[in-house]
Formats: sequence, structure tokens, C-alpha cells
Amino acid sequence: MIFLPLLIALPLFSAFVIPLLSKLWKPFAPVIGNITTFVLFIFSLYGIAAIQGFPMLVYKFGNWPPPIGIIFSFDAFSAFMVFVISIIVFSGALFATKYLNHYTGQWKFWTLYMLLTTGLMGISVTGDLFNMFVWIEISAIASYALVSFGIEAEELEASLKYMVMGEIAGMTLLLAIALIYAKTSTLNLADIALSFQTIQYSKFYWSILALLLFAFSVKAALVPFHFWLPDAHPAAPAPISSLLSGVFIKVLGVYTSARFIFNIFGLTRENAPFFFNILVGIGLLSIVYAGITALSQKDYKRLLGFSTISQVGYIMLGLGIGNFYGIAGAVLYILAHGISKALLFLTSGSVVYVTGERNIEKLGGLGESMPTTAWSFRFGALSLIGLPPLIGFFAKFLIALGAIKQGFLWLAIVAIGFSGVTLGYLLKIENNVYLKKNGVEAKEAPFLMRVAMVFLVILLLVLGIGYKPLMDFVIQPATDALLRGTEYINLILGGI
Amino acid sequence: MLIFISCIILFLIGLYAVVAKRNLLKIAIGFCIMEYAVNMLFALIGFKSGAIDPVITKVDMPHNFVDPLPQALVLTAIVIGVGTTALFLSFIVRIYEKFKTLDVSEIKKLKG
Amino acid sequence: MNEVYLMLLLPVGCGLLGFLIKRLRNEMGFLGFIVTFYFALRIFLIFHNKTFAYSIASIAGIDFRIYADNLTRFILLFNSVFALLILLYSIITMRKSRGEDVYQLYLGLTLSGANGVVLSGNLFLMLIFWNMLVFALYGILLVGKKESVNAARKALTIVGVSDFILMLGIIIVYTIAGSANFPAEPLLSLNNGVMISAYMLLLVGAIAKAGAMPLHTWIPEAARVVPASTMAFIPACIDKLLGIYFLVRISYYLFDITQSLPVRMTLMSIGAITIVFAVMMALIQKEAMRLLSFHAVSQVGYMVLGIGTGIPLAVAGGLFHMINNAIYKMCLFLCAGSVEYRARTSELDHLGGLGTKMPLTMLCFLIAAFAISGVPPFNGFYSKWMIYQGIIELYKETNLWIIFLVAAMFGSVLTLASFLKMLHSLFLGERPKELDKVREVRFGMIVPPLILAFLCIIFGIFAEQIPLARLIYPSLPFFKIEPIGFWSAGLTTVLMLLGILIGLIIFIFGTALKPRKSKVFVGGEVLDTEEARITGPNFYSSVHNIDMLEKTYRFGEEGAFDFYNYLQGIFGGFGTLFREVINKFFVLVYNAFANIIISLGYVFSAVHNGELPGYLGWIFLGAIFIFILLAL
Repeated sequence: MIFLPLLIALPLFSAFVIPLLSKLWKPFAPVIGNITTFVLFIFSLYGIAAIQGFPMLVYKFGNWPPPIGIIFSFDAFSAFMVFVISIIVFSGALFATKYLNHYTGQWKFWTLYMLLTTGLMGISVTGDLFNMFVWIEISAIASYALVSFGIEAEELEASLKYMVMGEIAGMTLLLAIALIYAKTSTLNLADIALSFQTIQYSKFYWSILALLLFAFSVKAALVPFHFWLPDAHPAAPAPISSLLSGVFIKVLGVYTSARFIFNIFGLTRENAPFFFNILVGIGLLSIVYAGITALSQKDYKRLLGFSTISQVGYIMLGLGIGNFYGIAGAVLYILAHGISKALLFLTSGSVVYVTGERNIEKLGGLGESMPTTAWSFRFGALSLIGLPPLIGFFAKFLIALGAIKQGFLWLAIVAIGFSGVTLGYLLKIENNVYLKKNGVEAKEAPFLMRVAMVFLVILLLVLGIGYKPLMDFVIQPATDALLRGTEYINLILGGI
Repeated sequence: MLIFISCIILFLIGLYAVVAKRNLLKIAIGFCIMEYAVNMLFALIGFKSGAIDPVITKVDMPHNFVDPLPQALVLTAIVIGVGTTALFLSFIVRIYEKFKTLDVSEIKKLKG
Repeated sequence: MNEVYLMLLLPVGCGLLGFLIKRLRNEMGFLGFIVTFYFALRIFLIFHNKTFAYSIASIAGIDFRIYADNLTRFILLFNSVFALLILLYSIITMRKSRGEDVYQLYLGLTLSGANGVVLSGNLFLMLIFWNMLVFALYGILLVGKKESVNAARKALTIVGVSDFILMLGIIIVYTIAGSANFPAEPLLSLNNGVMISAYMLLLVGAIAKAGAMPLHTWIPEAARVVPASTMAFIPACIDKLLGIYFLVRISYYLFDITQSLPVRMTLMSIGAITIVFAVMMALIQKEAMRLLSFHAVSQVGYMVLGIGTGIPLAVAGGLFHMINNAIYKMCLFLCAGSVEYRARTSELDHLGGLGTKMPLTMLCFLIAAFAISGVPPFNGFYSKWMIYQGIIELYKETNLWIIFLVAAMFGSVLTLASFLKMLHSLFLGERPKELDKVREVRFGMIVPPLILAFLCIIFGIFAEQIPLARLIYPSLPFFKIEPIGFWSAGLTTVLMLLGILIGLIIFIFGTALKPRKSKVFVGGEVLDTEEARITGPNFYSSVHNIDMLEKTYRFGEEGAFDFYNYLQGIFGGFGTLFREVINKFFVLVYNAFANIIISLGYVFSAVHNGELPGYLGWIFLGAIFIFILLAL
């Protein structure tokens, strides 16, 4: 179980080593960054293997037993999140190696990148409430700094707005933690869940839930809490956009809220249908509003940003449906959207790297001069739209299946119908950037950037074709971990 | 109950500053107020009147400690708060260089 | 079992290898397609009257399985035959043209996808291959002239959206029936609204693939801008095979539409409307490929109509028409493609008189044109006849049968008319000077049309013995089809009469093949003969010129042949009307819908005005809303 603290310690260590070593020789920074992310990727695979057959692995810091000391609790859902994070982080690091030629002060980028990774990993594996807050803040601060990495006027503005909104959410979260501590006198998530069982459905319980839902909705950029995202994602360097869209909002927003709703608050569709309908409502609002807004965008990355909001709506929709298929769909959607949206942002980065232009109306004809980028875009887009046999299809399919099983036929119709809108805005990019003849001079992106994109394309295909093992070993255990509900308490506190 | 209400009122004052004020520095101050409100709430949660400090020197000491954990939390929260405030202030400096204003409603290059 | 996997992997695998190893591209392509054909043949022989089901995987209660029966093996065989012919043809036409390197890859992908669709025994598995075809279609449409980008986009939008609808239908079927396997045991009945809506959703997928109205619009648009082999392979052949295959599967293997008259009426109406409107549009086209593409749409109408009747004979006719249509429509596209390849244009106005230069091509075109027009003894006649018979049988159930019958026959007449026009424009009449150097196409390009024309004749003359007995009837095992009344005395008489009529027409063409030149008399002024050349679209007036006196040329409006002129005028007018009204209407509706959504997008994006206080206000409102909903 030593790999659990290593998931945190390794990137944290790299974050501190990079500034030191890059003073000696500049390329140390990307080299260390790439090695670290690759090792994390191996660890994540090991984590998935290690969790098979065990409902929960617990690592106790200083060997203090759970309610007293800080613990790392690693169940299948955590393993799944770590897997997604490490995929995106790895491809982002590969991509950034070359992409950063535009920027000065590369070691700062790599340090922040490693800190961001640390934070994301920490959130996914921690079993302690305040610890979770610390990781959230670490990754959030790193992301504020990374969004403004170019320190141009637009980037600073985007980062400022992002920070104001993000910090409001952070402070709300801290307030909620204080209130929880006042009521339960504990910070261990399982112990909190135990205490909540006695005060279930009281005013206090719902108020805390509302505070947390608000904080996580801002982090997950659900409509109407999404305003920071369409600014921040385009402003960030492409690997960071892909990281933010691919995993950041899902770890800070979706993972945390799912963990709280199912495992800590012990809510299910049976005992709190009203709350789950709210989730469905928020999800639906995001899908519709952001999807339609994306149609009117002209900036490559801003369009993708709106698309992200819309797609996160699908995840919330799946969670809100609340039966096995809905939740499994949401979990799979985290993976599918993570990979495909990261891929799309990387293609945007590759276009920006080559042409220096983000306005899709000024681009054109890159399909012939940049075939790898164009085909990566197409695969990512097709997966996002949900065409089999790419992985995106199965996610959307499970959500629709869940909706119908739950008796929401109309919901399935809207969810699948809005794939048409998805198709619409992605075709807009395809048409304007890759097909239309516009005489934009371009050559293909550098080798490493292409490798990063092809890596993700291959994952899309392999995971789509290997849907069955993926479902058996990763998605189903993760869904079960959520559906296990407050059984979570016994798994952590019972084994003292 | 009073401590809850007073701290939450303080929190809301900070939130008001962030949401309603146009000057970036005032927004930064608003954040600080929000943060202090929560920190104070933590400290007050742990407080018990007439209790002793939680340092065990003898085996048969009376079990009337103040809760030590919130104090540790507050320390961590303060550190995080310093980090965010520092970053935020550095943004303000940079933004003033680029936009020549501190009024948030003038900083609107990104729209649509 | 291995054959099945090879059917799926070989075409695309060899395409990929050919793409990677440029030197061996043609060899790899042929190898892949021939071996696929060999396996298809083996499957065809092995699985005679046998069914075969094999589950690949079972995920979340969905049984992804492969299923093969008589219908499967029949479609599989023709998929690979047609693909082989197209490959042979396209190797020559695509040489040194844009997109040559990927063309075979897409052909292979299409064939693999098509085989996969046919071999799937589960709707979900089928959907996967269905989407592989979408991808292949998009890619292959991009290979062509510059404007093909728009056609590809349009095709992707229409087919893609219909796929979502199809997906929804599949999910509903799966949820209600508990299984998405077909054939369903027992068949699902269409007795409630949910079932009917599920069937309708699946139907959208089927007719979008087959290209029936109103989901046909990308086909004519693509016709002008993509190579003839693409048109011949995908919209004319594979899409028809798969769309109609799927229609038969959902109508008789999954649901039982014989129980529900309204559903069948819907199907038949779609069929009838498609026949008439599309053929009228075809009549006014001035470009060969576009004209053919409208016929490709029109002919789907017959199949949908036949299958929609629910009368065994007509269903068999519909299925038979599907295979016949694939044969002759491919032949027509390939012949037109050969003409375009040699003459460098496909505008009917600029063509003519190529019959003597390209005799074999003309022969193939003639046979296929007769077949599509329903002239005996070619195959098109036989299948249309079966459909007519079936429609007549409908009188027991509804009085509207007469409308469908009239629509079908009317469409047939107009088809003949438009093909006479096209035949004349391409091969007869006077040849423009610049086409004097045109010669017959090369061996590889003439063999596929010849084979197809030969099939037209075989399937027509020995219809009962070969295609029906061996292919069609075994594919519909639940029907007992008795070919009654086929060769009765009355019928024979009619046929004889028709035959005489055909002879007459051929005779007229025989003279028309060598146009008699007479001086053009225009008030004493001498005209350049080139200018006075009679171009194709005015075929019927050229007939005047040959046979009538100059006087009749002047008073031509009253002449004997003016029947055709009137006909063409009237229906051409209708065609224009429909183009103006119907097509514009669809374009308008689609555009209006798109515009509403896009302008809504602009309204929404106006909310993002860049002002932080405004954003915070929205967030605050949302927070209050959540609090009110949850905490109070």
C-alpha cells in the first residue's frame, strides 16, 4: 500500500526538485515532469490492479487509527479517478514539452504542473475532510497561476475572474467544514458519515448539503456557476486547458460531490428523490444552455470551453438519475469526456502553436497540412458526439439507458437529441479550421505533440473496443463503490 | 448559537464586499474578511469557558481541555489564506499594469 | 466462425495495408476483396437454410452476438460482389487523382462496416458498424472535387442525426422488450404508442440510410462532386442494401408490421411520395450524375412501398427490387462515370452522340436503362410487377391501394421518359466537335458494367428460377409465396404488346443513332452547324428534326411526337414546382430550425458580457436558489 502516499509524494517531490535542478540544466524540468507523470500512470494501473477484490484500501498516516489520524482511503472510485488523472496528466506533460517553446520560465510551469497534479491526486485518495480542503486549495491555486501563465491582459483577466469565483467556492467549502466540525467534532469522512446518520434530514443536514453543492457546482462549472470557465480555459496554455477540462473540474466538482452525496450523506434516489431531481435539473440546464451557447462561439478554445460545461451537465445528469446505469454512465462519462476533451484541447494547442491563431474564422484548410491534428480532432469529436465504437458512445448510452429505466423517457430523448447540437458545434470547428480553404500556411505540429495526441486517440479506440474489460475492472467497481452508500463507514472504521 | 450567527454575519459581510464592490483591493479585503470569519468560527468552536490548555502533563488531569484540533486547522487555513491573498494581490498589481484601472467593471476584454 | 471474423477484418485490414505500403496498394485491395468474396461465397453455400448465432460478449445484459441466416448470406454475397466490381473500376478512374491514397481504405472500411451490419444479431452491435459506415461515408465523400466538403458535411449531419434517432429507438426497444436481439422471439407487436414510436425511430434510421425522402438531400448534392465509383458504390448500392435490409429486419424479424395497418400506410406513403417526387425532380436535371442520383432516391420508394404493403408477394418484390436496383443503378452510374471520364464533362447539354464511340458502354447503359424503367424482360420489370401485384392484393384491407398503384406506375412511366432523354443526351443525337477524340474506356472500366448488365438480363429472364428461388424466397421463410397469375395468357399478351412497343422504340433509336443532317433553315441565314446542334435535354424536338419536315419544326407544337413534349413540359413543370416548393420547404425548415438555435446561442452568449459583478450576481442567484430548494 506504499504506492498510496507515493501518489502524492512523488509529484510533490518533483515540484520541489524541479526549481533546484533546472538551475543546473534547463531541460531537467520537462524531463523530470515527464518521468513523474509516466510513473504516476504506471502507479494508477497498479492501483486498479491492487483494488480488484478489495472494497477499500486504507493507509494510516503515522499509524493512527482512522477517526483520530489522517488516512488515505482508496476504493475503486478513487482508483478510477487516479487513472483518469494520470492519463490526462501524462499526455499533457508530453504535449507541454514542446508546446512551451513559446514561453519563458518553463520551470515555473513544471513546478505548478506538478503541484496541480499533487492536489488532484490528493483529493482523489484522501479520507479526511480538512485534508481534502487543503488539496483542493493547492490544486486551485496552482491552476489560477497556470491560467495566467502567459501574463497577457486577457490571461490575467481570466485568471482574476476565475480566482474570485473559485475562492468564493473555497471559502464556502471552508465554512461548511467548520460547521460540520462544530456539529460532529470529527474530520474523518467516514466518522462524519456516521454522525450524519443520527441527524439525517434535519435542517442542518440540508444546509450543509446546500453549501457543499454550491461550492462543488462552482468548481464543476455547472450553469449558472460556470462563468469562469469559458474565460479561463481559453486563456490557459493548451496542456493546462486540457488538464482543466479533462480532469480538474471533474475531480474538484464531480468526484467530490459524488463522494459526499452517496458515501457521506448516504443519499439515494429512493430516500431523496427531490435532491436527485435537482441534480438532473442542473445537469439538464448545463447541457442545454452551454450546448446552445457553444454554437455561437468563434474562438476555438472558448467553444470547447462551453462544450465542456455542456458535457459536465451529462455527468451530473447521470448522477442525478441515480440508478446503477445512470451512475455507471456518469462514471464512464468522466473517463470518456476526460480523454476526448483533453484531446480536443491538445489539437487546439497544436493549431495555436503552428498558426498562432485561435479565431476559427481566420483559420482554414489545416486538414491537409496537419493531418495528424485533424484526425485526432475528428476522433475526439466523434467520441464526444457519441459514435460507437469509440468510448463516448457507451457513456452516453448508459446514461440514456438509466434514464429510461428510471422512467424518464423524455430525458433520454433530450440527452441524445443534444448530441445533435454537439455535432453542430464540432462540425463548425471541423469545417472552419480543417476543411475550408483559406490559404493559411501551416506545417504539422512537432513530433512529441503528435505523440501526445495519438496516445489519446489510441486510448479512445482501445477503451471503446475493450469496453467489456474496462467495464468489469474499472467502471463497475467504481459504480459499486458509490452505490455502496454508507457501507463506506464500516469499510474504514470497521477494520480498525 | 450566537457564535455561529455572528461568524456567518461576518462571512456575509465579506461576501458582500466581494460581490458588490468594484475596486479590486476592496474585493481582496472582502476575501480576507471571509477567511477571518471562518477562522474565527473554527477557533470559537474549539473554545470552552473555564477549560485548560490541552497539554497533558499528569496522568490524572481533569478532562476539561479546549479542543486543540481547530487551532491546528486555523493555522493551516491561515497559511492557505496567505497564499491566495498573495496571489490575488500580485494579480492586482499585474492587472493595474495592463489595464491602468482597478475597477472590475472596466476589466472586460473577454466576453461573448 | 473464422469466416465471419475474416469478413469483418479482411477488407479494412487490406485497405490499411495498402494505405501503408503504397507500392502494393492495388494488389492488397484485390487480395482483400477477392478473399472476402470467396468467404462470402462459402458462407452463402454453407448456411443454406441454416441459422447461426454466436455471442461475442455480453455486457450489462446486452448480448452482442453475430447472427446469420438466409437473408444475411444473400446480402453478404452481394456486398462483396459489388465491392469487387467497384474496386476494379475505381483503380483506373482514381489513378493520379486527389485522394487516391485513401480511397481503397475507405472502400475497405465501407465493406467491413456493411458486412458487420449484416452479420450483427443485436441492434447495439449493428449500431457500432452502422457508425463505422458513417465515418467511412464522411471520409469517402471528402475524396472528390473541392465542393465535396459541403456534401460531406451535409451527409454527416443528416446521417449522424438520424443515427441518434436510431440509437434512441434501439434503447427504447431494449428497455421495453428486455433484449435488443433480432430476430425477436416472439415478434414484438405494434399495439401501443411506445412500440409504434420505437418502430418509427428505427424506421428513420432505415430510410435515412436507404435515402428515401425527406432524408435524401445529401445524395443529389454529392452526385456532382464525388467520383462516379463513390456514387455507384455507396448511395446506389451499399446504402440501399443495408437500409432495406434493416427495414426488412425491423419490419418482419423484430416487429410484426402486418398487424398494424396505420404503420404500413405510413411506410407505403413514404414510398409513394418518394417515387413520384424524386422522379419528377430527376426529369428536370441537366447533369448526368445528378439525374441518376434522383433516380437512386426514387427507386427506394418502390422498395419501401413493396415492403410496407405486408403482402408476401410485394415484400419479396421489394427485396428483389433492392437487389435489382443495386445492379442496374450501379451499372448506370458506372456508365455515366465512363462517359464523364472520357468526355471530361457530365453536363447533358455538352454531350451527345457517343454511341458510336463507346458502343459497349452504350449497350450496358441501354440495358440498365430498360431495367430501371421496368421494361421486360429485364430484372426491373419483374420486381416492379411483383410489387404491383402485391398492391392490388391490398384491396381487401384499404381503398387507398389504387393511389399507391397509380403512383408506382406513374413513377415508372416518368422514369422511362427521363431515361430516354438521358440516353439520347449521352449516346445518340449529334456529337459536339470537341468530343470527336473520345474512345471506348479501358478494359477494367468496361468489365464491371458488362457484368452488371449481364446480371440484369439473367435476373430478368430467369427471375423465378435463380434470384427468387435461391435468394429472395429463402430470405423470407415466414411467408408462403405462391407466384400465382404470373404467366397467365392475358399477361403474355400484354407482354407481347409491350415487346412490340419496345421494338418500335429501339427502331427509332436505331435511326436516331445516325442522325440525318439536314440544312437548318432559318429565314435564309446560314447558321453554323455546331450552333444548331440539337442538344440532349430537348431530345423530343430532335426526334422531330429527324423524321419530320422543316415545316413541322416550325409548327412543332401540334405534331404527333408532341405528346412527349407536353409530357415533359407538364412533368418538368411539376418537377420545377416540387424543387421550388418541396425542396425549398425542407431547406427552409432545416434552416429555420438551425437559425433559431444559433440565434438563441447568441442571446445566451450575450449574458457573458465580461463584467465580474454580473457573473457574481448570477452565481449568487444560483446559490440562493439551491438554498431555497434544499434547506428551506
